Amino acid sequence: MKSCLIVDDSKVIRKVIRRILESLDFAIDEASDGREALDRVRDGSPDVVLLDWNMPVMSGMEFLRALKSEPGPAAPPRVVFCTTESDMAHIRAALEAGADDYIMKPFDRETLQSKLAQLALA
Amino acid sequence: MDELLADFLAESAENLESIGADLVRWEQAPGDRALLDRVFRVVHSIKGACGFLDLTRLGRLVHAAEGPLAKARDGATVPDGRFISTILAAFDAIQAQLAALATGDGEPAGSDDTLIAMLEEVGRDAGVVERSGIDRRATLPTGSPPAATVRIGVALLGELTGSVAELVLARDALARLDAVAGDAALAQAVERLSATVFAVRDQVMRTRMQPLDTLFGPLPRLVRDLATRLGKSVRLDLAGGDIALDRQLIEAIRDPITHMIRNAVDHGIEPPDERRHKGKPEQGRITLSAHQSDNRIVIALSDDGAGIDVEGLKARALAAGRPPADDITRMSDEEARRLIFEPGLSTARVLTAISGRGVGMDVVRTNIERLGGTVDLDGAAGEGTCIALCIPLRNGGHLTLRQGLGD
Repeated sequence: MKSCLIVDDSKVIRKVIRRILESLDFAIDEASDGREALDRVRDGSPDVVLLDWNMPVMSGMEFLRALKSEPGPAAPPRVVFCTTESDMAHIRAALEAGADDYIMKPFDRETLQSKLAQLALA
Repeated sequence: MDELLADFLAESAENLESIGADLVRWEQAPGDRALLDRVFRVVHSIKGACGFLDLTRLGRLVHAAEGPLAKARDGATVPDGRFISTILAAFDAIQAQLAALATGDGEPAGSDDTLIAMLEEVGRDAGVVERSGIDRRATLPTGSPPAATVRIGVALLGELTGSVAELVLARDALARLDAVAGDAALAQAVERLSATVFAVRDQVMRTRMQPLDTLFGPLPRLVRDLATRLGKSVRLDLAGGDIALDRQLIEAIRDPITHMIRNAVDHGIEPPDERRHKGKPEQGRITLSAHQSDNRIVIALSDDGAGIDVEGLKARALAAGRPPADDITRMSDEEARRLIFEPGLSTARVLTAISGRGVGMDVVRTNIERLGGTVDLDGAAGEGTCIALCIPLRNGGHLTLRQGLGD
């Protein structure tokens, strides 16, 4: 079973994504900001992180930089940014900083599934 | 009430409450970055959830509010009195809509056009206008104008459609009895009943219909925004927006069409330099037209962009290993162009932030085929692309009614 860490400060959005991922047979963990996400990655070594952009305490981008800079787990998680159109200007920077992909919110089950399939995760 | 909606209302109320006090003192400290960050995040978070929950009216409003806030947060502008007043007015309207949603009757009817226009304006010229400030109470849309419409649940509409289908069947049965009875008075009564039944059937059909304009409406804005972000100039022409379709069908084609438009702006239309070099007008042109004929609707999207790079597409398919290499080399250009409907195959040489790595067209095809329709593709390299969605109109509730008539 593949595992996914959902990082979003909105509980509603975490729940929506959780429902989709559960239907795709993922083991799911959640974090509500980048700082918490770093802890969850260290403890749980998920296969993929679905990452929000704007969060309190530590943003998605700060999380990504921290993740890439530390000698993490043997197989670091793939990182997919969950963005809205207003974040689009920053996406290129995120991909350059090592994000594997991005997906536009709102997305449906099929879109997420095909995105994960492209990363060989579903 | 849906569990997610309830969670959303609770979360939004919590977030709004947490910045309530900040909002009050914002006018005294317009340059407070930390405060601005918190305000932005609340709006952004509501917007994100609106998309997933299909709250279109609220989504549109928070999207408009986010624009000027993002500008201020990115340092492109310093909030002034008018800026803050307008954002506060938006918060009032957001709260009013959340309160209406809490009654469980769905999104309230009405329009936020005035407020959205104001938000767009402060986003455009915030920081350069005088610090006049406005009385936000005066600018709040004071409820929707008394419109001659009522909102009706989709479920009830479904029941009504079912009852009408039954009614038509009952009329058919009666007409058969009438045919053998040979009673002039009965025949007259059946004729009168028939006329009314058919009129009711047509009227119920019309209640399920919406003009395509409800789908087309936001597209010019989408194209303008995407084009601006990409440094392109693109004009969108729309035709056939007055055609009315079953609302379920409109919802089903909304995403595919949005995807196609995105692709056309992003991958189809070339940057102005390149267009000039090719002897094309700098402004790219996209045409979305709908056309109804007999039992089908054809929606065509054409652009005068670069067209599909067939050789590039073949190379990508070869690299991806599907379909088999022999098939790919034997393909005609027409067949090869259809490779864009394979998952993960995009001709775009540069990864772009708008439509991503070729995601989209495979999803478009799947969605249209699910409606029993087809997707046709036309256009040579360099001369733009035309994609036509052809969808049969005999499905869903439409079919139920028609079947009742025996045709």
